Amino acid sequence: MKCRKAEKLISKLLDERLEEKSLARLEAHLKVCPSCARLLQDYKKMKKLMSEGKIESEPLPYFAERVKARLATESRPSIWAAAERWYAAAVPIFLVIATILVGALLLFQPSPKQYSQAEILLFQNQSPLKETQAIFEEEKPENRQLKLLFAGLESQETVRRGK
Amino acid sequence: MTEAKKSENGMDEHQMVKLAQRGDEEAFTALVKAYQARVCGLAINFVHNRETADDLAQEVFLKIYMSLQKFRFQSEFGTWVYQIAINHIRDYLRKHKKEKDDLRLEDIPEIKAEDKEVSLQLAENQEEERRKALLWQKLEEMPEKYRLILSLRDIQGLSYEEIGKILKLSPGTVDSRLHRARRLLRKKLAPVLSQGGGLK
Repeated sequence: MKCRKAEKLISKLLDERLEEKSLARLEAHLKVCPSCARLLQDYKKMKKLMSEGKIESEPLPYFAERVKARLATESRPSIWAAAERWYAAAVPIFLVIATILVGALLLFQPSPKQYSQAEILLFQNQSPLKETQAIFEEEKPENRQLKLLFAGLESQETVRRGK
Repeated sequence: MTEAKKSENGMDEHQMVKLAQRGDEEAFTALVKAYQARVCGLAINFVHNRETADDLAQEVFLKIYMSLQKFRFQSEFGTWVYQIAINHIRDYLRKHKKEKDDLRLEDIPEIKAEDKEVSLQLAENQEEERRKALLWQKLEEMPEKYRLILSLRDIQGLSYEEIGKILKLSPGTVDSRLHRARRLLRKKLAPVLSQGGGLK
């Protein structure tokens, strides 16, 4: 057995994870290799030193009580924590919905309505009948014909634009 | 981790966690008492200062309290506690990389001849302190992954299986990493372990 392999087995031996067969091989090696026998002692000393470190790792007095006191001051009641979680989730959702709504409003804005001459006159508080009446009251027939022609053209234009 | 299964009032750990999740402070305090030594021990292995380790451990338990609702019993509670503690300690080390206010070998006075004459016991204690200081110093020089596995196995005394669960490693990886960590530490500690011992 090579010394490197023996060192690996020594590490396993410390953890009591060495199979009988390997243990026998290691013991045979340790008998003929003083260097590895010393290595085993070193590992044992090191492990003892490490385990002694655990004794010093006891917490300072009243640890649990101090944690409890910090919880009282630093942690908020669960209802607030839940509200905060809800708020944190609600804000991005709200922003997404608002963006969609604004986008939809901008996309589907109705095109400006085309008003007919009669509607324009009505909005201007002028009766459309007055214009018709003025055509019929025209004395000269050629003027009446022209006015009728223009009125007809205007109404056709309005229909076309409405389409 | 197994000794933490029952609290002082004999209640099952699972029940205590459930109660703590419902806001029972007494149950949470019982859980703190069950794990405080382990969390403090882990912290002190990395910061080597009891006050800092105590602060870190308190912060770990505050984190645990805040995250209790997220614990779904998919692992052992102890495994989860260790994972939170390790992550918190790693964060601390990352933030305080350059701060070195921890115990140093130089802080422990050399033993003088007259001290030995005055009190052999005192000299032995000092020697012991020097050995421990050297151990901490050498541990600190090691890569974090080796320091962590040595701390969990050789100081905390966790089993290979528990370490595997905490660090999310296979038993084979735990075995090989532990061996490499021990070999490295043994080389670093050679002066105090034996004069000229070990492999060439």
